[in-house]
Amino acid sequence: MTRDDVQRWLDRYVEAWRTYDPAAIGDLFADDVSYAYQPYREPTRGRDAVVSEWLESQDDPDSWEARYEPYAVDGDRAVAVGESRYLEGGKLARLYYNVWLLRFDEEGRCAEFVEYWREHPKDSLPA
Amino acid sequence: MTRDDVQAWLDRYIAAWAAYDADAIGDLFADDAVYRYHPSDDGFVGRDAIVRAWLEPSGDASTRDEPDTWEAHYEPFALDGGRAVAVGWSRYYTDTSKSTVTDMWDNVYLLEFASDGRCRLFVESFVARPEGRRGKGSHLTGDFGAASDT
Repeated sequence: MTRDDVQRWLDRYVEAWRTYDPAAIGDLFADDVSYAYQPYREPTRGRDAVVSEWLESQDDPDSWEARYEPYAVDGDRAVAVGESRYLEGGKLARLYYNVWLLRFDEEGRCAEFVEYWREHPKDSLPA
Repeated sequence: MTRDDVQAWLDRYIAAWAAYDADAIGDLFADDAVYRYHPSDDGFVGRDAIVRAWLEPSGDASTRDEPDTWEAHYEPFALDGGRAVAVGWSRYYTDTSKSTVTDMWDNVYLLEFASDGRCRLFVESFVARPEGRRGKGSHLTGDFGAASDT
């Protein structure tokens, strides 16, 4: 994977999150993907299970903004960093810092996904 | 930096932490290094400020981590030019018997190295493990597990 490949994958991830199109979500991941929402949690396994989980609890498309970019790309591994912002009444309500550990298969689908995230303290959110 | 270089740096990081030795800590970092405990921190800028922050975490030495009451293990996950990403865990115990765990964190470090092998950017992100998930063993899975198992 090149840095551009990883950036395109990240942009498609954000787009799939916005549209909740099952085909677009599924296309991001390998058949046997392992997807962990926290490094210590048992991962969700398999593309169908990941798609189902995404569809289960949906964010309103106007309630968030997110941007992720590759920090390091090393063979089939990559690390992405970024921010996810949730808005309420047009104002920033929650801000998360994300780090994702990623492994891709030969087709450029993500086969392993481990997320680390931290929330910015609510009492000092940027304007 | 090779994977071995990064592993050696991480091992020296842990040794410097255990020893609270100013020279050993300072030797890890470039003159103008930036060290953030959290992605949104302003962080500490410059080797001297970083050394002081390590030696006097809350303004004095009383809040240092007591020897033999903690364990940590970090490994390189990815290398990209002067950048590296390390992952691992840190575990704290009530006392030196290490029988009762008080806290455990999963860590990921975003690193940049200068050409002399000193770190010039260190950004940490850490996630607290809930009770019941602080045992030994792999917390990452599949191919990643090998990179972070005990």
